[in-house]
Amino acid sequence: MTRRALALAALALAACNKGSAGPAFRLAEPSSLAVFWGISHKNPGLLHPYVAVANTGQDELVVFDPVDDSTVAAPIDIRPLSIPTPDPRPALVASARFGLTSSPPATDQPDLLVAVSAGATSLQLIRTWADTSAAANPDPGLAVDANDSPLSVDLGAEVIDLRAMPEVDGTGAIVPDRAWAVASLIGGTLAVVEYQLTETSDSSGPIAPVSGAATLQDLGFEALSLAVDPSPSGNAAMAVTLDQRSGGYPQNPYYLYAASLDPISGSTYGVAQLDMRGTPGAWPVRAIDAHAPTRLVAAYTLRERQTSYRGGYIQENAPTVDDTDLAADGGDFNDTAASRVYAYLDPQSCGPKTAVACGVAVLDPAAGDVLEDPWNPGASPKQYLPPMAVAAQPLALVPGTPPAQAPSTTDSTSDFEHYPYMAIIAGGSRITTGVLVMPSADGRIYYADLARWELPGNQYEVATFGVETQVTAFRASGSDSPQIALYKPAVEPIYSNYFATNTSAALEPSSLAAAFVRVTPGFTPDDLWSVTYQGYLPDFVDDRVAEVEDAGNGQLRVALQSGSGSTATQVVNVFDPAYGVRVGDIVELRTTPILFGNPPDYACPDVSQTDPSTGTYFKAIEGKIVSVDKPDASHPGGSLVLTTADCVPLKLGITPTCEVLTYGPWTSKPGCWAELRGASLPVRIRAGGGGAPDDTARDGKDLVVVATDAGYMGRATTVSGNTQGDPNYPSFSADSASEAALVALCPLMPFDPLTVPDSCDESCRRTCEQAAIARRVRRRHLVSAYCAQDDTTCTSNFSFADFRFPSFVYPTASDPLAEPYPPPIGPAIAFSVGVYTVAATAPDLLVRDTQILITTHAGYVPSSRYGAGTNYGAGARPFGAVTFDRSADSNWSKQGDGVRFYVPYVGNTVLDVSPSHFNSDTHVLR
Amino acid sequence: MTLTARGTHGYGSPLSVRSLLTRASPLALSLLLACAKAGLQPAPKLDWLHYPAWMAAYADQDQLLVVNIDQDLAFSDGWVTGFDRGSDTPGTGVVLGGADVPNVAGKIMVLDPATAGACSGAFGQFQPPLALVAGRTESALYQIPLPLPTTPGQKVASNRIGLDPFSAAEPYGLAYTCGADLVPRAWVGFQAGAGDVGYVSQVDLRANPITGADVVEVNVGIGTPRSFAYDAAHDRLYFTGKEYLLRGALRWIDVGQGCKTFDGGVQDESQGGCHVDVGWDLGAVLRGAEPNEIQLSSDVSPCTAGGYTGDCRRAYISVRIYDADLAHLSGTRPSSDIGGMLWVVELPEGGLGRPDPQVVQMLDVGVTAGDVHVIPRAGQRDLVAVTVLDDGLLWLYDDESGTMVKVIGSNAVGLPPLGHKPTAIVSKDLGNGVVRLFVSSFEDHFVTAVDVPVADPSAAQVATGTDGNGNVVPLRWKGNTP
Repeated sequence: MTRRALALAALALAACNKGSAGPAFRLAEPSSLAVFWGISHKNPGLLHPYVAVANTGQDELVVFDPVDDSTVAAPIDIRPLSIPTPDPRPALVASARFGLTSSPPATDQPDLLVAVSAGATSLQLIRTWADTSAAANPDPGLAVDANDSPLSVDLGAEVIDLRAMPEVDGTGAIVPDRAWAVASLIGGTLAVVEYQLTETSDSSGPIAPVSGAATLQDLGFEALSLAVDPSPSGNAAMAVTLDQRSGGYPQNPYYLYAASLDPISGSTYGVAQLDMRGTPGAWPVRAIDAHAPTRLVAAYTLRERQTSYRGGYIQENAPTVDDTDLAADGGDFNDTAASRVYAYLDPQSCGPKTAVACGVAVLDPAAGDVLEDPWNPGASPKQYLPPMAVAAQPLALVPGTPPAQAPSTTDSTSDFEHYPYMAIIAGGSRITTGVLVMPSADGRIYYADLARWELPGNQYEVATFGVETQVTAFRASGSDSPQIALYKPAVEPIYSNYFATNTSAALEPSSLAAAFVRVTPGFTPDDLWSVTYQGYLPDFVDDRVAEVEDAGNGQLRVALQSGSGSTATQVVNVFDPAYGVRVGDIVELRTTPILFGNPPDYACPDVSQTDPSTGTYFKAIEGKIVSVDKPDASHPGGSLVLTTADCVPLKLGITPTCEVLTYGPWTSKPGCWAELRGASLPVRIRAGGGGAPDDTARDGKDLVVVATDAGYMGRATTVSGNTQGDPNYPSFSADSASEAALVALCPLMPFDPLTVPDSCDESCRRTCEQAAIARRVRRRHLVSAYCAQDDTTCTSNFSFADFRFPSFVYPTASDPLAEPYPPPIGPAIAFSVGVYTVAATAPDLLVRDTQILITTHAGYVPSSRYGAGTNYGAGARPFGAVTFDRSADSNWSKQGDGVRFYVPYVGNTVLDVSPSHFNSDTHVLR
Repeated sequence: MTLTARGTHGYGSPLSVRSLLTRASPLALSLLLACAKAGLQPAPKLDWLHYPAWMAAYADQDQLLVVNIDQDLAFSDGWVTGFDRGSDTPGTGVVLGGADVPNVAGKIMVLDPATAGACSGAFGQFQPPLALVAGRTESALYQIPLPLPTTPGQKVASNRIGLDPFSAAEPYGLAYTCGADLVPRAWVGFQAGAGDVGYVSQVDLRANPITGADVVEVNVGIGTPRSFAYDAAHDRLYFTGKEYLLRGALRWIDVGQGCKTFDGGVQDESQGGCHVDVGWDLGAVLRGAEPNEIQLSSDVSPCTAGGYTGDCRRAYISVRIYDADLAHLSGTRPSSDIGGMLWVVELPEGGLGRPDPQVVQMLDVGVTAGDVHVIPRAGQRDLVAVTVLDDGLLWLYDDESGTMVKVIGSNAVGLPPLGHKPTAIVSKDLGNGVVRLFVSSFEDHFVTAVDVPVADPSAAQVATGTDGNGNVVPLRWKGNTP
């Protein structure tokens, strides 16, 4: 079948809406959702939950019922109800529950629903209550005043984010019949609009703004995202009495959180905590340090995992609950709940070039700081929990509460009793106490297990089944010249059954050496690693333009730039140690006659031509770096001082030789070196290789290590052989353990070519290089499972983890279930390397470009939900999300559905997904 | 073989179904044109607007040049219609003369002493003022001497520069550079390339267009180019490219001494030719994102992202969002969009001789994001106007505050005041704190003026004029189009 036929078939399938009944949703660029309780003709006279959709492309709101995923039809029953907005392109909607009064009953109270359009400053109120006017419209609509003018409030500036919440008083108590809509505005202003619900003995409504103007507060920073903690008030005590409004009132109703790229309260980058118990317009602001600017924020209160083995997830398909004494269940989660704030760090302010790893930071609002590493409490300096790494940029953070009627086990469909637990389904099923849903830029919806500070994976990094963290492929040097080989560790067997049959091998050149590579779950990425003698540095494998000058003493100065001085372009910061350029490295000067004006007596090799004798391109003339000079006015990225290169170790035919005539120094063209002065030509840079290229020593060779994705990883130095392995294993380790210490010793981080100190010599640059590498191999995932077997097996014999991951720290106490059991820490990759001589008669020289390749597999693929694409793959451009608990009212008979999340996609789609169900239970609403 | 990490340019992918389609489309277009012309279609009506797509202004004479691409092939050629840009007369406007260009023409740009920069002196045959128009169906670049004649319907002869691409077709995007070597170069991007490879022709404007222009065809890698923007300070020509295998890249050419043709007509960086960078993939930032039009900020300003210090220039990019899932399944980009955005991207210099793009803003604008137009402001970051074709919108983005401040969409009765498919934007500073935008409506065949108070762009509105009956009506020109 052709691809086109497949496409047509897919389109035909896509025409089938597997989401809903009733009129089609008629969605056009939906961008925002809000769940509200209100009145419509779909459920006459009954307060019922609905979802308002900002249907941006149609300049309207449409409404659907989240209980059955069907639209509220328009009076003409062929399309959904449309609520046109006064301003075009509605972009944000928000809803809030009003505070309860004793009479009339709470269930009669409609919710506040407001909307604002892109580029507009007007906040529009939407009617959710029964219309008692002469028109008596039975459905939600635009709220108007007595003159039929829209009930809107001008905020004075364009809106960045919008939230609504019940109003609280100075004590933090919820005020009856009042609610706030809070908008962050451009320019660093917060606008608060107060709404009042009018209640009479026989009706609830209307709702109206208390004042025609918003109360403004100058924050001093621009809030990109707002959040309140939606965790229900019973979560801490676990003595929950929920009404049918899923979740009841929030647990901490008086804190509003704001993410910002700007410093908060003067100098802190992170999240602002605003105390709404104060007077609107003057809410006190407190900074929570996230150690980096933030773009998105969420808050939640939950019982987090225990730090012992029991806190892992593998066995958790049912909560260990003592229904008579929940706080003493001896189970897997802490007995008390903790308030947490989750902040997506600005991706441009974190990562390997900075001191902070990227992801979603877990913040402790009580401490005003990132959550302390629970396995290292009280350490000095303070140790922090790493951010939850994300697979793609989240576009929203939405916490989800456990369902009001939670299943007793992850596979239960009929027994509901264990609030506040919820099931999530990833590689397996597990129980947790809260999730954070993240619609992301790659079109997928990821979710975090908040109790364990991780995004669950579709696979297990530590498992007796599947493909755990490991080396999946190893390509040996495979020549009859000396080869790069790995040493067997003298202690701590690493992996697999190799040792059963190869107990005497000490230096293994074949693919069996894969067993000698150490990997660490949570650190080792999916990547391809090359280990090469005199290989190219990864950032200099392609041509880069360079200006060549006379450096005196027969030496040349090469600056990787075009032009000179302040007008230079294509400037490469060769002095920046992060790129790995070292003294002793080799610069290929790629000469062609056209660069020299096609002189008839051209004195250099023409790398654009092939050598008739070999059929390969002529090699470049090379120089060896004798100095890496700091930037100056003429060379804004620094420069390299070169002397003529050493010979090049290679094999011509069957003869090993260190060649000089037509390689390296090109002694057959003695005039070339001098001709290079003043030239502008492309260059490439190779690692020097350590030692003299023509010696036959087996130790001291520097092999350049490159990870295809992660980049330059330094040099692995060959060590002398042992008969039974290397007691100093590993000789090379790409790890982050010493990052802080190395960074503290490096004056070049972050690298600024304008402020390079004179004091940083080559040794200093090596330290900086190691620091830069340490940042590239930080933890990537917080592994929360250490053993893939049952409790008994795992606690009595850690054989699996012990066998494959010796870097794990094992409990030694009498009760291993209770002892803190930290996630593994170790190198992304480590090994000991040597030079292996094939046979006594084999050539002696280690030849340039001799190489081994190692493929590593992380064993971790974060679980996601998706289906917004035409072929039910990942869609494009999701926006926010809202959550709805279908188990909240047993009359709906939807307990098994639990908590659902709705995510709008720009492609005229809303997805209905659940982390508690497989992706096959995703519903597409179009 | 030694594996060398990184550094893959992605050139030379095998011919695919996509490439066959790419090759077929210009062929089909040519056949269609041949049939149309064989049918003795009427000559262009130089005082009409007929699918006005692209526009440019010759500021010195206050002339507005509108390219009518004659999409339905109702005429024997496309044409350029001139208007008096300073007129406040609604209806026909003040029509000037024009020039013939091929049907389905590409973009237009005006080179005058102000825009030609240091190369505007007597450099060979380069004698601005002139307009350049890409002739998509003719694989040629057209030079139109300026000013246009003031007599309506009077035609000025244009010069044809044959591009004669070896592996490409449909010249579309245009750019102009004048670097340190003081060589005036025009750059023409092709919408079709063999194997979906992108090609750009570099035209040395000093050469005599009649006797033989100096043209270099440059392979710019997978993905055909669309829109250009030149950063003179870094001598870097940015260009956006069409999606290929879910990759939609912003790429650039480091111009230097220009691109050079070597053996076999191949531009070769290793022999001193320009550097074409593999660029930065917007699709990796947001699935389904494909860059369309690009403009650079009028000035640099302090860098704000990525930990960079110093000054940065920004790029304003209209981004089209397509159904990546369908593209993945079918092996080709769907013809229609599902969304659109304006991206604001800072362009700090990274440490490896290339920019390190940093996304500052991603703003949703609607389906089929179109032209981008920068309005400079003294002491402030720019205002940016963006058209959205399928949703019929004009947005104004204020880069000082970082937000959309105005959208002109449908009016109260659902009609788009700027017409259907608002396409191109040209501006004029009225000198009273107001910048007037001219927006072409591709489907409704008129140009509408929008007045933007630069101090309060949220107050922007469709400009008005007085018609012959004394009524105040929108300032909209359609020439003598019936």
